[in-house]
Amino acid sequence: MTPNDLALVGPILLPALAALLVILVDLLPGSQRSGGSFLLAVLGAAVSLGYTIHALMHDREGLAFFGTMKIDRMALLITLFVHASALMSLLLSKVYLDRRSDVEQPEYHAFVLTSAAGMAMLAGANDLVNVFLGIELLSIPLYLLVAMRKHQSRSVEAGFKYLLLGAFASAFMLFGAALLYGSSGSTMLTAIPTGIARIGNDTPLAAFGASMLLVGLLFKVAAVPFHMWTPDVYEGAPTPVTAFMATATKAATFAVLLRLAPTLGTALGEEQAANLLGGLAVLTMFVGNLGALQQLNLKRLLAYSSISHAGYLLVGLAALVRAHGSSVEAEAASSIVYYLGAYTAMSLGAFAVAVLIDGGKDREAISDLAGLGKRNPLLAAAMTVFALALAGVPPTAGFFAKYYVFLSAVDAGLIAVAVLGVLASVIGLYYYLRILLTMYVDEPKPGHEATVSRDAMVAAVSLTAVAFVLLLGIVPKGFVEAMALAH
Amino acid sequence: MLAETATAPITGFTPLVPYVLVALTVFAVLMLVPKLLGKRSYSKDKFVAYECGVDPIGSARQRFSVHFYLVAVLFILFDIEAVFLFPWAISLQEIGSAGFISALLFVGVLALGLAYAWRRGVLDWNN
Repeated sequence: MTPNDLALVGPILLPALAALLVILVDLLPGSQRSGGSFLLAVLGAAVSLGYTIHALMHDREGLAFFGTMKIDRMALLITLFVHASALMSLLLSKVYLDRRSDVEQPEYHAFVLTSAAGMAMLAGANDLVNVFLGIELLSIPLYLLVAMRKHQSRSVEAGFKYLLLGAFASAFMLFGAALLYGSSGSTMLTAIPTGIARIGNDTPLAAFGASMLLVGLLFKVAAVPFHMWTPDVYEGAPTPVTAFMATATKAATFAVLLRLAPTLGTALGEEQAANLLGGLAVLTMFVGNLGALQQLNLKRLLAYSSISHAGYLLVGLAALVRAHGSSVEAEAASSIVYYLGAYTAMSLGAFAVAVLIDGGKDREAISDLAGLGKRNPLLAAAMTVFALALAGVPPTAGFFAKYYVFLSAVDAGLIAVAVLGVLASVIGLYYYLRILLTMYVDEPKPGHEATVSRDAMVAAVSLTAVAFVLLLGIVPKGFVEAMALAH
Repeated sequence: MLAETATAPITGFTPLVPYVLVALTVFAVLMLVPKLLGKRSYSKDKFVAYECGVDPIGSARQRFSVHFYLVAVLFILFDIEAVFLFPWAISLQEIGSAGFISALLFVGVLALGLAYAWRRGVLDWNN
């Protein structure tokens, strides 16, 4: 452990430190009602975000802790998304929590920060042990955050579901990690492929281990067939928590999947691994988009939308595995990172609108949005941008992100997957446009109009999200260059 | 880097196969033979819950206070802390000041957690 190691993992240590401070300050007498924990948590998340940006701009990259942590450009970019998401989610939570007396606020803030630390750790993990530690550090606070409204059965049920299934997924991951270690002789992600190759490619043990590890990770990103929990958990969790889960967990877990791609290729065979991931991607895109068609609840709709976006991301991963060793590999990796950035912005924005229309009474029906175009044109315009971006309509971030992912799939030779992906997006268009139709055309039923909260912080989050969604879509070139990964 | 240089994949487990087979056979024989040869008698007392030979009192299905669970979880936390501290105490000479400080941080974080639980009334049995 050297000071340089500590400086490299600063984006992991800082949120953890902030979480401890939040707990410590809450112990002081008379601090319970002051709202100090909120300010401290926001400060902690902002400092972590600033540190990550600083590290990105000055290329503070390298191996830490004997190579078990690999802080490279990809890790820093994903950490950037995670900390941005944590900060935005904290800002969203103020108005949401102040209207609900059943949540312990200091614990809430500390858990968001702890979870962000776990996600940052996952983004930089280069060793199976650290991958597992990161997964647990991000998951355990999330289980608690989902069940934070402990007198509301919906929230408790969601937390319990997520805990049981998440523990199951962790067991799968551990078993897979043990088998991978057994078949390669190493726990280092960068050393596992060579270890497996030394023994021979046709080892069923390595294939089994890699598949089980994949099961655990696909559960976390809500990919079919491990997606069943998503709608219930996303609906039951407090809305700011859902926003955080949907965006940051996906980003952090895809960081591991990116690092595992060579292992998957070696253990399963590049052709088979690409076909498997491509098949799962097609299934995920269709199940997500078809499931969303029938939803009446905004949060459930966004949950199915989140499933379908996991599918688009898996298209990029399949391309990455298939293109191993060629120039397309870097393109596929960059397209996934770009997609994660775009998805973080547009999904956070959509959930910010969900927080605003909720009015403290858990009003989440899509029909509550009726007439919003007349009553609150600005908010309706923001929601329009997010819905169009999630649907993938130009000139938004969603369009370019999808284009980039599908392009890398075509370049890698996965043409069928790309074509099916475009078809699935067309289905998706229907339910996103229905939101717009509800806002601008439908007449509100008396007593069922959403009461829009006026909150400067949530408005700021929405505005930031709108700005990024449009910038990433209109001038993608600079962002693509910033997010390009050398492979 | 230990992990990079380790070479042994999982091999040499073949001798375990007869061991597992013998274990399964012994188990099956021990279960089957009494079933085939032994005599069985049923009485009402055989279906009563076993409470060390005393007649059972009350129902076994009672609700317990959630405090038992909280205290058990706290106990496990500090139990695991002790497990980590034993090897730390023995190897203090080798790991030096870096190891000493790491363990102090570890204990400090746990102590903070305990203080928080205390403050929130987890240890208060009347709450």
